Amino acid sequence: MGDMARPDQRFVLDPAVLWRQMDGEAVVFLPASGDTHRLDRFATNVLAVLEGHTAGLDAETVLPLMRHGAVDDEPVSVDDVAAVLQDFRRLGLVEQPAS
Amino acid sequence: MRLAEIPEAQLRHRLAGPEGVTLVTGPFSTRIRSPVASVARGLADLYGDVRVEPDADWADFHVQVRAPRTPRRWFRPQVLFLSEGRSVFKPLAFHQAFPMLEWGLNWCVTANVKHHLLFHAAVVAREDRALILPAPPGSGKSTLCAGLVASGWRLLSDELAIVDVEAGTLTGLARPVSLKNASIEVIRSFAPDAFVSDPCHDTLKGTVAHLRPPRASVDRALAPVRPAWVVFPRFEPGAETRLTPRVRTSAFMELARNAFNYTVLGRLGFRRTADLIERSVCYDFTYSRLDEAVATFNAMEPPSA
Repeated sequence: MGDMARPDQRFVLDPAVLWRQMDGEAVVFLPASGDTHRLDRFATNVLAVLEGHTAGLDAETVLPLMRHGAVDDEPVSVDDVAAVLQDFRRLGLVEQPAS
Repeated sequence: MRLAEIPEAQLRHRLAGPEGVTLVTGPFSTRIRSPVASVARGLADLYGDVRVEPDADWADFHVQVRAPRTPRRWFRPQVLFLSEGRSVFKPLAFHQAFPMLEWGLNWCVTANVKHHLLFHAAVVAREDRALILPAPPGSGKSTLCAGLVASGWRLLSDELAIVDVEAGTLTGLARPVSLKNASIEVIRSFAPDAFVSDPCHDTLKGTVAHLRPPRASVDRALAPVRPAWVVFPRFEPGAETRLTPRVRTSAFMELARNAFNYTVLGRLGFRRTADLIERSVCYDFTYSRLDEAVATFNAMEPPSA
């Protein structure tokens, strides 16, 4: 499904971004702006899935990979993941993969 | 050579002259010049155990505390703090000369030091494990720091956590602890044998006095310590003593907010702050009774290294 997604809905983690996971959450640092953000457990899991996928992932592809990993028991939807990806884009944590 | 080995008359003479006195506090040396008697008195009272460089031809910081060269010398006299010959604060009333020196010495570090990661925090240590107390003014940080030091903890600083960006360890300044308002009497009652300077009234921070650093802390100022606890203290009148675990990411954000140069150091600042937090257990701490607060920290076990 992910491969069928519109290219502008696929994202890769900006390679310049630094992040560190602690107690299931994460802090991220954007060198370009000097901004630091704290991510909750859900967003941290999305970020962890994105790391290493240089071709880019969309929300539908991220979701099963998250379920495969450790996520809180609460049910999550593609829309939840998509919203997190949009937040990541707004914050500058992710970018569109090179075509 | 320790400052106490200089006879007071000679100390006053040297401070007033062109050579000044070069103090070594932790990793920094500061050449101080001042003709103001209360500055010489404060240094003699509070820095006696601190090492001086008798023939230093180099120092990290060069500071002066003196009256402005204006008619104000005779009418409501004021005092200036100069760093590298430049006045960096607004003039203060003359009787505030020594507190102004202390504030100026803090400023020298925070404004100039780029090769350490600096946080606004008190730091004390037990053995080689550091308790870091980041907090804004008015949180009871210095009072707690003074209480712990009077109870045997090693003083690194009541104002600045200095992190070696290579090793991730902390180093100390072991300078006097600044006490304000009610905390002056709290510490005098809590530690009657400790030396607390005469209070200076009507400063921007109210009444201030300083606790002399223990000699053992001064002598070990450069011995590195590893982070063990990051605790955000808050004095609240009448509150129960309460130590509450804090999620590390939240502690990270709060610590970064209390940094002087986290953003300037960029990636290195992020990595070292993260390392520090990962190696520590983090808490919020509320207290009103200093004896209970000190007992709480005395009972804490450090995390495994």
